[in-house]
Amino acid sequence: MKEDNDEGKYVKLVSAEGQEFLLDKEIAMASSSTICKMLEGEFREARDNVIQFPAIDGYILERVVRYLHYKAQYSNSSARIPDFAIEPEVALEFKSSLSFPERDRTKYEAGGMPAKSPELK
Amino acid sequence: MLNGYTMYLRVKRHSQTFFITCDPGDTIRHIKEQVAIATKNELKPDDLRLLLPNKKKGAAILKDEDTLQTLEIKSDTVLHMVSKISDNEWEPVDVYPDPISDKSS
Repeated sequence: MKEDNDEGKYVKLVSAEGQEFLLDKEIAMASSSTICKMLEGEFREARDNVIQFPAIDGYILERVVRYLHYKAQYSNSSARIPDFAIEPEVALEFKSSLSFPERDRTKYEAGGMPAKSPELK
Repeated sequence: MLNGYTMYLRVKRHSQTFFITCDPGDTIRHIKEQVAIATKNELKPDDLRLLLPNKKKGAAILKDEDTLQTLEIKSDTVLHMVSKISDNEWEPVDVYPDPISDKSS
């Protein structure tokens, strides 16, 4: 899907302190139903392709964006799915921030500990 | 797959991080072009320099024609980016710190 229509190809996610994360809009929409709704609806975000996350710090939002890529990469994949590496000290905050993207059952692992239950609540 | 691509890089400059999807055979020039698109051409590929940070050896300046494969750059790698200030002058590297990975690496 390497298309030449570049207008609106990227979406920008802005953290609490103003860090900006730009990513492929299709990946963001495929991996997060929340982002998808915001970009498709009548929201201002849909026009500007910018979404503010005033409650999420940049270092957490960056990990969320990495997770969106992980999810896009391994959804519908028949290959062995590697664990999503997340540092133990950010695992809790990361997990709560995931309530903005949809919940899902993709497993993740905190600091190399065996992930017993892949379910994110 | 990542929208048809097999990997992505994180390109950092100031408070911005660009998640650029790509393939191992892509050139550094291609990454710069994608960054330019993401900035809606506020930044021009010719005015950008990408660096591969390395704590021990210092950052290596990456050449336009090199591919990710030959540079052995894997998915999720962080590259630093600087912009040209004048003909022969580049801004210093200035990226937002990460409180966790900066500490552990």
